[in-house]
Order: sequence, then structure tokens, then C-alpha cells
Amino acid sequence: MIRVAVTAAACLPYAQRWDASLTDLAREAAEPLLARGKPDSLICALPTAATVEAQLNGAALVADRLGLRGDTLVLGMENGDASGAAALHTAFACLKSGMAKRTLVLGASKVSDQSEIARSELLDQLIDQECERALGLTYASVAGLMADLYLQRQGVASVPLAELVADNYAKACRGDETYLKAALSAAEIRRDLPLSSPLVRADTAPLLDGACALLVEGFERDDDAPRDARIEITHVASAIESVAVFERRNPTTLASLHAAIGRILRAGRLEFSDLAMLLVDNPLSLLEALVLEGLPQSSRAQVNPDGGLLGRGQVFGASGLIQAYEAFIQLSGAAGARQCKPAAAQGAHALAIALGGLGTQAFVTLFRGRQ
Amino acid sequence: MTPSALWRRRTLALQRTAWRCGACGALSLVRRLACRSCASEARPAAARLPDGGKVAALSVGGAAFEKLDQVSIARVAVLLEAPGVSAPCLLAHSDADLAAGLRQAWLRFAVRRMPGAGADADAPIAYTFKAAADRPTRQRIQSSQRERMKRNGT
Repeated sequence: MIRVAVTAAACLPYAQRWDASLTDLAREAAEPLLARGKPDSLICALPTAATVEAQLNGAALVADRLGLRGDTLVLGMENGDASGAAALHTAFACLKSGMAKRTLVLGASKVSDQSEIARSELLDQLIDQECERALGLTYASVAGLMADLYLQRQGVASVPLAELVADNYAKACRGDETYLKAALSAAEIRRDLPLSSPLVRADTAPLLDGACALLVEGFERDDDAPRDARIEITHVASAIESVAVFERRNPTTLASLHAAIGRILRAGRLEFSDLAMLLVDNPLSLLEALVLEGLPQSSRAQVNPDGGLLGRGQVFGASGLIQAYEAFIQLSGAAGARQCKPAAAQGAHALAIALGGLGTQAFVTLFRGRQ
Repeated sequence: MTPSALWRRRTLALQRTAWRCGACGALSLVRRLACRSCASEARPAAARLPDGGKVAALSVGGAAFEKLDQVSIARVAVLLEAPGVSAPCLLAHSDADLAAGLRQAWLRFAVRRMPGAGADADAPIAYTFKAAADRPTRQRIQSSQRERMKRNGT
């Protein structure tokens, strides 16, 4: 049976990179990984290429800039903000099937050329254009309605969401990869500019430029494992809901995601309590709350030691790969100040949950440390 | 939005045409091969949305994203619940000041101008359905607002 290992990972600091184009960012992230040898396949997640840069066939463009020629398999994934996770799962399938042996998976986003309004319109493209957008709604207004329903169901005001954001800010500031100058308290967050009530601006992750690259390789036995195979991807699962939030059976639960988590743990013969670390995609505080709400509460797993997207900023479409990067450094004990101690133990497991849209798609990935 | 896209969307946006499941009767705003509610693959039939519904959720758009261009009017979104359907839409501009008092109120659907339409001189003017309060509801909320202001001395 073919096994899949992540052998190298690189992630650029998120910033407003006025000096760099999308392909510059992709090249910067991929360059240190290519020093290990040419991959036989490249899978790219560049969802902003077509909408922001008016560039179709972005994966081929990146392959050109990386000097990949000949029989290299080049694929581009477009699954909105979950494109990175979709690319990782596609790489997993390619390696498992033997179609590829060494795959470079790359996610990049370039948004700083756009105004903040134009960036918010990028998010508006994640909602259903035929029914939600046709009625004049935006990503923010649909999220606001979801949050209002959620808080009514909880019987509380905005308190739990503000505290969740503050917790992510604190974690991000403990690490060294954040756009924040200081961690704000829940009380300060509640005073932020309103986005779409009950949500405030801090409930969403800012869109920044960035890129993340992973080298993923297949092998069959421990004795032929690639050099630096520090973590393995053992299982993947996915889930899908209606894009239009209020066409779902229950708009304030993520039932199919939680079913997918159950499937992946059963396949890995694990209990939820066996996980050392949980990486939850949180472009919106509400989504993290919905994910956590459906999980067993008695867990030792640390959630988002890096602060997630809320704490670090969002590289649109690369977040699933950034979770894999975080799993790579955490499970190999190289996360520095934000190291999650249980994750550094030999054979520790981490579960990454990448979301697309307002909980429309979920990609769940189980990682195991090999050190 | 192009004129042809607006024309395609007229059935939902202007005529409030939805799709009723042949098996369970649930209404859906878009046509699907399988019902979102019961998963039946029975052919859905076109059906008009109800005239209105009760406000189940409400969200007031703020200044952080949508109003960096200094648009001064709050944009309110509501979720109206009626038998067999939950329909999200915007609140009519004329009722935006009453938003706080509209929870659980019954609002009717009314055709109104889409926000942002016409900002580009070449763009077609678009219309869609929004939620609007009827006169008794509006008067009731306005009078309770006046009483509250009197009590607070404002």
C-alpha cells in the first residue's frame, strides 16, 4: 500500500506585498522545496488568479516560472477559499494511485492590488449568485443572518464569538507569524467596527498576500521512505452542503462535516481524544464556533496553536495548505514559541478541517508525526 | 450584471418563482435534481413563494466592509420564514430605521431596486424582491419608538 508523506514545507509571511506578483509569491514559496529535486507533478490552488489578476491557466503559468517542463503533470484547483485543501487531497489521491511519486502542492493569493471593497467582493463570489446574490445579499449579510440565528439558538449576545476571536489573537501573538501588533481583548473586539450585526470586523480574517508550498511524496515501506518524511497524511475525508446557507436543512450546524470527522477517525482507528492538535479553518469566527460545537468537549487536543486565519490573516485559497504547513512544523517539533507539546510526541496525530464558503465544503485531513 | 443575466433571474427576483418538491412539498429558491429536504428525485414544480413571512433573523450591515465608500444608509438583511421555506433577502430601504423593532414581525415581499444598481452609468438598473413592513406594523413600531424616546427624555 502506498503511503503519503510531507517531506518539506514553506510558507511566506502574510503581508501586503506590493512588490510581488502572484507568480513571484508562488516562486518564492516553491524555490526552497525545488532544491530537493524536481517534482513529477504540480497541483496549484490559485483561486484569485482569474478574478483578481484576470489570468486563466494560472497553474501552467506557475509551472513555467518554476522551470517545470516536459512530462510534469500540472493541475489547477478551483474550490473557492478551500482550493488549497482540495489541491492537497488531489495530491493525496494522485500519490496513492501511483499516478505521481513526488508532488509539489502550491497555494498562493494576491489581493493587495485591490481596494478593501473589491476584496470583500471576492468573498461575495463565494455565495450562491443565482439565489443569494440575486436577492442583493453579500457574504457579510448572509454571515450576519447565520450568526444572528446561531446566537438566538445559544440564547446569548455576541460574547462567545468575541472571546473566541480574542483567544485566537492571543495564540497568534504568542507565535511569530501574525499581522497583529498586539492581542486585543474580547471587550475591545466587541467595540470594533460593525460588519453585519452581530458580527464585527474582527470576526473575519483580513485578506492578505501570501503563498504556501508543500512537497508530498509517496512511498511503500519505512525503509524506502523519502528523506525528511517527517509527517504522513494518513486519511482524508470531505463533506458538502448547499452553497445557499438557508437552503440547508439546518443553517447553524455543520452536520455533514461532523459526519466526515467521524468517518476519518474510524478509518484511522482513533478516538477524538487521541488527537494532539486540531486545526480549524476560521475565516469567520462563527465558522470555528460551529465546527467546535459539534465536537466532543472533553479533548486534550489544542485548537489552532497559530491562531488560525483570524490570528494570522487569510491567504485566500491557501488556508488548507497552511494548515498542512502548521501540522508539518508542529508534529516535527519545530514550531518554536507556539509549539503544542503533545503534538511533538512521536506518532502524535493532528486533524485539519478546511472549510469552503460559509461551511459549504469541508476537507478533513488526518496527519501523523513520524519523528 | 448583464441584461441577459438579469433577464434570467427575473423569475426568482421579480416573480418570486421557487421550486416545490413533488414528494415533501418543501420550497427551494433554486432548481435541483434532488430535494434539499427529503432527497427525493421527484420532478420539482414551479411554485410562487408566499406573500411574506415572519422575521426569524436580522442583520444590519455596518461600515467595516460595505460602507468604506461612505454610503450612509445601513443595509439590513432579514430571514423570512414561511411554511415550507426560509427566504433571506434585504429589508426595504424605507423600513431600515425600524429594523430593531422588526424581530418576529410579519413582512411582505415587495419588488424594490437592488443596492448598487446604477452606480455604473452603463449598468442596467436591477430590481429584486425585498421584505417590507405593512402600514400597521410600521405605525406600531414607530409609536413604540416614540414612547421609548419620551421615556428616555430624548
